[in-house]
Amino acid sequence: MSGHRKRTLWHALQPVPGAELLAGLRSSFDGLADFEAVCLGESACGELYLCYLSTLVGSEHLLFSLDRSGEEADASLIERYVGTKFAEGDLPACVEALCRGSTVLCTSASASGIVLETADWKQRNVGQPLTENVIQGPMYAFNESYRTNVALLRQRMRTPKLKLWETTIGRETAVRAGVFYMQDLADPGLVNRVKERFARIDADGIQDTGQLLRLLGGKSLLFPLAVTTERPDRVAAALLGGKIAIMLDGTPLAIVAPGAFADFWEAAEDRNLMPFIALFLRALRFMALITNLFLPGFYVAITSVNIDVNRLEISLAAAGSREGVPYPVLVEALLILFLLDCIVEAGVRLPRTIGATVTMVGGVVLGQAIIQANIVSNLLVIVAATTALTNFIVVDYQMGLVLRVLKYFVLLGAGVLGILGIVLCFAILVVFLSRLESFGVSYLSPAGPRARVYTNERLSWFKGLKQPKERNG
Amino acid sequence: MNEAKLPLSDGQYFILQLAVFGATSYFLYPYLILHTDGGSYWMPMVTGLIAGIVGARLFSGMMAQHPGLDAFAVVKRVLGWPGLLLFALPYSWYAWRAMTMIARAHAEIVSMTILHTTPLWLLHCTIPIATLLAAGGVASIGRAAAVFVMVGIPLTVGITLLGLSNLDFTLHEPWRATDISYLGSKTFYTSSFVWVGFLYLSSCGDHSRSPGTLWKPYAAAALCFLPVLAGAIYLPVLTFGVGFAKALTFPFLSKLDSISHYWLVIENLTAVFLSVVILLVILTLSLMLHSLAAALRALLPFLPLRFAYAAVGAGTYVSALLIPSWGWIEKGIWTDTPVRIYLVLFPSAVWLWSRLAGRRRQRA
Amino acid sequence: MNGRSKLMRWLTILGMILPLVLLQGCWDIRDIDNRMLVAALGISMEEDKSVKVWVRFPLPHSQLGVGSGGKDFLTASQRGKTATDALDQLRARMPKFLDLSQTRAVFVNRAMAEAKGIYGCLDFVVRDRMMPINAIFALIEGDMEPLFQRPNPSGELSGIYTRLFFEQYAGGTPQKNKVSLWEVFSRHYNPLQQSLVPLLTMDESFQFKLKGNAYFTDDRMAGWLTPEETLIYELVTGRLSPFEIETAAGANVKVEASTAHISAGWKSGKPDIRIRIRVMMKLMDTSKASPMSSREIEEEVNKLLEKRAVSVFAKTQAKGSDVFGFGNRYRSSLPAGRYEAWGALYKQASITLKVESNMRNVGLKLLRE
Repeated sequence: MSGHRKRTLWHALQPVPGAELLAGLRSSFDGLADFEAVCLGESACGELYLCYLSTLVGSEHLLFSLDRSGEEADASLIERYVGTKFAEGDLPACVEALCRGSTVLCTSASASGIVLETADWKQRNVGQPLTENVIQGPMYAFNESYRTNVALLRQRMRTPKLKLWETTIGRETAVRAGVFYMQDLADPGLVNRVKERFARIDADGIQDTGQLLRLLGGKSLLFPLAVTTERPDRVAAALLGGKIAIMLDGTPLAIVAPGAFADFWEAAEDRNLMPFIALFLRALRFMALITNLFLPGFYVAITSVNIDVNRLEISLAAAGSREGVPYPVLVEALLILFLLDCIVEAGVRLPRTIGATVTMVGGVVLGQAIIQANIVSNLLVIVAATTALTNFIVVDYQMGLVLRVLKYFVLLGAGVLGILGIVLCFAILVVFLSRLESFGVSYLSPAGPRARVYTNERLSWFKGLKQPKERNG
Repeated sequence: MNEAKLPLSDGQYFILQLAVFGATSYFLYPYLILHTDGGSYWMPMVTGLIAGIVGARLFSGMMAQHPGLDAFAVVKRVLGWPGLLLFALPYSWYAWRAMTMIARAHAEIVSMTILHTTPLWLLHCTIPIATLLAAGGVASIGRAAAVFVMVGIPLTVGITLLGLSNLDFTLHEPWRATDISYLGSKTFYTSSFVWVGFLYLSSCGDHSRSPGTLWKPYAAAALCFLPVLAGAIYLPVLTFGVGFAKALTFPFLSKLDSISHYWLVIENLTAVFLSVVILLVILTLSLMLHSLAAALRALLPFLPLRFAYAAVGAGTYVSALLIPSWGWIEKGIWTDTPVRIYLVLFPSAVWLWSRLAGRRRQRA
Repeated sequence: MNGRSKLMRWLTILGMILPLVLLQGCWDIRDIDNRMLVAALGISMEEDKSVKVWVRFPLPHSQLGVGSGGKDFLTASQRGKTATDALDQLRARMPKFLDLSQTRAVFVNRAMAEAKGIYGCLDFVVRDRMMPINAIFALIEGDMEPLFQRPNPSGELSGIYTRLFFEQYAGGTPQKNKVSLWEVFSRHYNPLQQSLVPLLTMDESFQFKLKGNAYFTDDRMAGWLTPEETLIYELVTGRLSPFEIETAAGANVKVEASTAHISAGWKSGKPDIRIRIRVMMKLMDTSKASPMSSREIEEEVNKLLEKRAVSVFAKTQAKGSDVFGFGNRYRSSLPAGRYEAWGALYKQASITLKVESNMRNVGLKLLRE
């Protein structure tokens, strides 16, 4: 085995007339202060050089540079190195490999070099999920390293049926992206479609899956077309349900596609809980969705247009609290919602230590003062606070943002036509959603006809995850 | 937008039909049925139901001649251009009129009950929304239908159930089954507009895998909706008595106004009910817009699809604004009755013709 | 692509401008603090046959303090040719929008009900839908002014009080016979049944008290039943909730439930109405003077109710006012053209009422010690 390797290795380093790998590397990395090309010594093929970016590589390469046994750094030296993974590559491959943190071993006259995997990447440890907390379920999350993420997923799903297709995106800074799917479970049409979409991407570089999602298609300007998650268990469950998962190097968030509106309301732990509890939680989230979207609008409707929808007592209370407020209800509501969104955004962006202070100042002091100054009514402050609270129940961050925008839309509708306006806004939303498709699948599924036809055949995924149950007998 | 044909399941046709019933049966139907002669209101309703199912059977029979084509293409293939003209022209006329009147009627109801001073051009915004939906194709209509019906029908049925309070069963008119004088009254024939929901599906019949059985979801929807429909007529009668119910423009809405419960959080049920019905109206309008656009495209194949929708939507919007009064709508629905009956009977002509053609081919 | 994005930009601009355009026309938008919500509406006829409208607005409690000198309501009145006319004139005087959409109670004075009828002055309510038709309706005997001007002694928010007075979940009793506006309207259109409307007068410690229930003939008030007589109406129409009655011998029973079987037929060209009422009751108090067995009490109750019924039927038959809705039972046997004649037929009808009472229990204390 090692003999064979040795032979191929030396073969790669054979001098080729006219080939100047080392010179090529030097010119490519001209101006990079951390690029080093160390001469190891003489070998059978000429002078051996070790090239690396000193900031990226680990300590293994030092073995080569320090341990020179006289002038003959040859077979025995290389032999000792067999323990590390290596490959052979020409100039572009070597450049790319150096950027990844590999070390290239070459002679001054060879056409190709030996790429040694010496990368020592800086990365977080595998830790708890930060954006999707659960109480019951696996407690670890993806991190920014693609390799780690793939490894985590492979550890969960130990089957050769879990296929991984890889590509790189970006003209200037190439980023690795991988598409996972389960053979036989995922629709081949869907997989082909995604691969096709990847080929069409034209970007300089890409930083996050959120960006990738937009590039992968969909004309949506508002709604996120697929769920992004940092939880391996959630990805695994989705893969078993026939979906595909897309991972990108440098981000902990994986895309689970195709996504439907209902998927955004499913928390990772729903599957781990008792059915009734899960149902209750889902109902709670759904109510929160309705409240968040329609409550400010409803307030405006019942205090300025459809007064007779609520009881006289409530009307009087509302009238009493609004007495002395100089602005129309709609303006008042817009004002306080804007203020509230500012507080929320400030809380998210600021460092955690200051965040609490901002919430305090914004929520308590401002809220109290604004009522006493008679700028908004205290009933509206209750409404606004409820709206903000229900927004945090939304599982998916992206969807939460969408709702934050949409409530203004509903508010305007209610301000013009009252309850009818709210219903019309709802209708417009549904119409838009019904026209949306995520990776060729209806965004409103499972309502209505589900999917477009891929390959003259009805889409066969979405058979759903078979509920695990006891085997008979 | 979505050219690929997605099959609609029978359940989805059922949902669409349910929405059509919900949208057409509240504004004029109670008034029309209450003004038929005879006084046993269940009879015109059941007669209408049976006639509707027979009509739907005929229609699906026609569609079954060439599965995978819409109604206009089927007629064109069987009868050629003259046949298409005989079908698509009256159909377009009828669909246009019906659409205009449904949109206007609901705008008018809203104006009469909740928003007294809001101008009609704003209340007609149901038409642009419906156009947007229709332009998404049958698939997106089907999806929106599922959501709208999921929201609309439980609320409609729930509100109808709330109407069960304050009933006095001595107020009902005799249940005699022998009096068929309703067959002679104009309003009975006018009321047939509720039962022709299957016509609006003419453009999406090609999405069915077995168009021959399309009448089944229609019949199921009609039977399921019958209790609600009966509620719209009998609840006011049993609460107010025939006299007052007949004196009202919208007996069912007034019945909703009369409901009062301590535990009911919402006071003005009419506002909620109307708003919900508007959802179903949007859906029905989009179905009709879609079929009208399909008819236009059958007549003028060179017309770009997008333009067809825009034209139909704009045309409907403008003509709905031009309707002068509520009385005109009542009259309009009556004058359209012959066209409606003609359209229902037309499929039997297609069917007969194709059988004759088949026999001729056998002889030859 | 470029053209498309340009189109999108235009659409975005349009989408921003459109709401602004919409907000220009605030058609039905009237903020709640710019409305004065009417809780109770009164319509009375004055000596000169003109109509006077009374409205009572509850005033909201705000941080700025209560208006109207510490009172939590405001009363206004206005004369006019008709009720609509008076309301129109009232609007001219008001600083805020007159909102009738939450009216809880509508009062008409007795003079109006006797002379002009009630439907005529309330027709506008149905047509315009400016007032809820499930508002409480009652007649007022005597002057309306104190009723509207006096603060509510029991302290509830004014207007809502009137509703609580009748509602089963609050102060309602069978004698009070809650009537909604729509019931009055539907009776007006139904020649086979007349309405029975509560008649209220001033009370010393509360806002008002029940004097009786007025019955109508052709939309005019024809007479009234005492609260005790109203119980017969409740028994016959099956609207009953528990009430107490005292027998002649001094025993007190509580009627808990009752069922009425009414058979309506014809006998020699006249309506023949037979009513059988089964009453379930509970003993509340025995008379100390003459102890009775439960059988005796049952018979006493039967006798008492039957006797009272005879007088009630006689009273209403004399005026041809079928408040019980017996006429509805003749819908099938009477040709529709003769419905209008029901008033006359009712005068000749023979009505027999039979009570079968049943003492279900005697409470926690035995009847005989």
